[in-house]
Amino acid sequence: MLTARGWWFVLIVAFILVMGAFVVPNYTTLPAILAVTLLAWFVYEWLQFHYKSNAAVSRLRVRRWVMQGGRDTPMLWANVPFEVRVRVRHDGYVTIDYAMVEDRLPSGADLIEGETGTHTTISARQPADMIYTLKCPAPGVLRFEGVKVRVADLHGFFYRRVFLRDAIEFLVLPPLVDAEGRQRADKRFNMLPPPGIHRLRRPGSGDELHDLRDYQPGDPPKMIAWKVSARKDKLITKEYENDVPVRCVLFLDTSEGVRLGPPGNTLLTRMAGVTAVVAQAAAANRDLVGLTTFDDKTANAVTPARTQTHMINVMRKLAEVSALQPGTKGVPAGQLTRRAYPLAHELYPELMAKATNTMPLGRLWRPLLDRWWGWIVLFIMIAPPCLLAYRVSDILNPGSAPMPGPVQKVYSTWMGNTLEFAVKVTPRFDLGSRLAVILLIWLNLLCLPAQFAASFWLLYGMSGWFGMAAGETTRRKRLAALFSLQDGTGPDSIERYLHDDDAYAERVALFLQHHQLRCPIPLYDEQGRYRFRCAEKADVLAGAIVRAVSRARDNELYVILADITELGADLEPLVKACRVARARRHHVMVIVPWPADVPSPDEATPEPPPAGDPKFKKKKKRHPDDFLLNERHKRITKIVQDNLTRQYHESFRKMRRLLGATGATVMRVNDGDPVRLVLDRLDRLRGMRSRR
Amino acid sequence: MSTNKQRAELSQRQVIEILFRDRAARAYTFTVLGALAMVFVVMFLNGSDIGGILVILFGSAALVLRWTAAPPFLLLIIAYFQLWPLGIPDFGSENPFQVRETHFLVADMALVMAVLVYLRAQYRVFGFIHQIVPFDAVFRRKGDVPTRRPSSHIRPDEIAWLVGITGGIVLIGQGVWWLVNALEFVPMEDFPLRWSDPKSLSTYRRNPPPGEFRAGQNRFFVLLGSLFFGMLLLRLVFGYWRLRMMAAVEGAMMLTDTSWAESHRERVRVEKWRIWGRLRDAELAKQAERDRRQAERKAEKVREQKAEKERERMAKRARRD
Repeated sequence: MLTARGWWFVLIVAFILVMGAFVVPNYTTLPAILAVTLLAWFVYEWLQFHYKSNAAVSRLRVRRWVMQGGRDTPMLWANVPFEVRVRVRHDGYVTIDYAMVEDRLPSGADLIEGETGTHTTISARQPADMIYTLKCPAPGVLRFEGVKVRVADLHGFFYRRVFLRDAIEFLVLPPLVDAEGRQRADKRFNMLPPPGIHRLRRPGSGDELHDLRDYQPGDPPKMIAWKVSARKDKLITKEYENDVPVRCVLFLDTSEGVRLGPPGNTLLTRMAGVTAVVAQAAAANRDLVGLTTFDDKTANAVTPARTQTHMINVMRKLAEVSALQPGTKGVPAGQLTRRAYPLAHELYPELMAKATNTMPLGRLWRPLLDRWWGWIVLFIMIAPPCLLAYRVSDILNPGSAPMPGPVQKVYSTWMGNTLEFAVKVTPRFDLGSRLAVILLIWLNLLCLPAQFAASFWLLYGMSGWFGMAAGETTRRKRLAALFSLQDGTGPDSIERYLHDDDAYAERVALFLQHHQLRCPIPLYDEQGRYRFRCAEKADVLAGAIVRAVSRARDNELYVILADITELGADLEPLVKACRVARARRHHVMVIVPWPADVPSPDEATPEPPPAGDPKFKKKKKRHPDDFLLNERHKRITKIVQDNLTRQYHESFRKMRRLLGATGATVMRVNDGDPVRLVLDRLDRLRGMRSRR
Repeated sequence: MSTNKQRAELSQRQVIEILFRDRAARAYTFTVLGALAMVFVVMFLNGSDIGGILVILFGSAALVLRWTAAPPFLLLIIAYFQLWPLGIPDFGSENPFQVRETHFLVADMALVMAVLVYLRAQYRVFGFIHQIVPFDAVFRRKGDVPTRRPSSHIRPDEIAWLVGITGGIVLIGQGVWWLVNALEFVPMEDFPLRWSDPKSLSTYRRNPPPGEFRAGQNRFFVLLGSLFFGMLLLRLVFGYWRLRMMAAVEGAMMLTDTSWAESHRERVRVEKWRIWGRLRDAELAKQAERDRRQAERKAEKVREQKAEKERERMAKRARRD
């Protein structure tokens, strides 16, 4: 590809060559010799670049190693640095003199050390190596797309960009627990049951005496309390308490509402972090931990267990859900294109190039007949020539049928007037020329409406080639072709994506999600309603809780991490499910994520001034801020924010009251230490009065 | 050779430091200045002292101030002062044997060599201090930082290779110019080119015989033909090579695109009908919903009327009783 610098050089040299070789060679030949020499140099550079481009650039390969803890790893841990090594090489026989190699940094990772790009020379024996260190602050999925290689000649005349696609994804597991989350796995007091055991006050096979009862046939003799039997003079049987493991089921909300926000700092990520710490701490204490993820459609459960494999599965699940992105429904197709096209252009340069992914001008032509008035233009365009032809045929064949009366009259007048005008304006030449000119003018005048209509049709059609719409359609077609190639749906889907906004938006959203690129999403619909309230998730969550209760064995702890503050009346199914759980003596904790931009309800909010207080009476004089638009805007924004905050606090209070009435504990994620509270509750379930 | 160090635009002070303090880049700087000096000397010897001074001033300013458009314009200045050494447009008398007498002149070769060395070195210097790789977008977007070649990437033997290859290209250029003028275009013969007779004056006639051309016309046809057929040949060779190196996915894209381009009219029609059908279904569904509501309202009204009648009947019965 010739750069602008190259084009300018060629143009100037060509100009000098033309002037030197054909205009002034008899005065001086030096310009011609200079131009020919420069042209020879340019051709030499062109040949060299293309030769290297085909022989070496097309053979470039990339290899990547991701190492954590000094070894290759298929999964990564959040908050732990890891090293990435990239090697770009080719097996050709040519050396690329200059290449700019740049590894595309995955989203959600911070560069700690090293460089992701390098200027280098690449040959078969001299690969380009890059080593750098990254760190993922949050769990999720880390996707390396590949390496961008830009090759140029040393003079900047030629340039080629390739993207060596080497897509690979790594799960970033939630961080390992810190000292606080690490539980002691041994008995701290002799009176306590061993970790992982929960004394259930029901008859079972434990060690502690639970009750005495009358002997029933079939009771094992060793269970007979002989002393008591002797005292009461009848056989009495001992009953022991039940020793069962403590079970904790975590319900994690993964609906679209909690996926909003910057990558790595969403409500979902924060809740997943809390879930991970609770799960690891409970597992360290030999308690059984289960995980149920739910959104507004489905719930997926991982049954409680305490093995290491189970814990890894839970972590993987958490990493997977942390990478979820909100849907892009409602985002205009144009906005999605603006987001997706540069990405596609960067990742698939050869598939988005003009040579392979074309846009013919005919496709951009605006069809006139799509409009109802286009038929009128068409009529105006063809009617005059047809009428003329009809008249000519009438002259040549006098017996043909005449035109309808009014049309005949109008057309005859039009013909007569135009002929008269043509005769009048034609200057006086010799007879033959004058007749020819008159005929020409007359025919043009007769077909004047047709000419106007044809010009309009031409201009209207050509207007599709210019402007924003042409660029938008071209970009959309290129993306559609890429999608059809990726999906294997062929050329049919290209036209479908061009016409069907819904299908196109859905596919672009999928593309963006696949490459982990977020796009701005409207939070409110046309009627001003919050689009991510996801009220149906209360039903799904209630169903999951009831299902867990139906499978429960004893007093379990259900920890619900969900954004349910604004559900209002839609909370009813959840309240019922909590009642069911409480009725079966299970414990329920609700941990609500709190938006970062909303102040805590514990913070004192300024009370509005009392209505009758003369101190706060309105001043008649206008505030100077009223004249400053920016200040006014700030004040209005503050008022809106205060109102929204108050409304949110009120919703939270209502929700806490509603669930609190069922016996559930409601708290916020950033309210103290939720992990500690959950663990305390687990200890209480185990029978402890206090921990440590 | 890191990339993060060159995130920002270079200031003028940094440019001068690179040009004169950096050892690797300094070699290129002095090559540029040396080539300009050589151009000045040759032009001065040709009697174009103003042109020489202009070239050296303009070239030096372009080097220091990073005028990337300057080298082509410098070429124009040199060509202008070669034609009119004093800078005043005056053609004077022409020499029809000028072309025949000016092959492989030392002064010409020295000037061309100096210009070529200047251009090659100057463009490489722009790679260090301005930009070597163009931006990805056609227009520079906000936040785009130009990619510069680090001076640490310069090989120690680069200047030597530059000068050596330039010498070769100068000889090739002289050879091509000689060849262009040594051939005659004869379209009436089996092979349309033949060697011209250097002693013959037939090509200088005002009215050459049919089938033969004058010297300028010959030059035009030979140059144009060699450029056209040369580019065609190279294009074919590299185009075929490119096809051979094409990845499967790229080929699939070309096939898909060609298939779409050949049939998009029919597909547009199908899609328009499909969209029309969908809209009609939606409209029908809306209509059905409206009808259903209307029917419900009617039924409700009838029920209310019946209930009203029933109440009236009961009231009448009660009054009668």
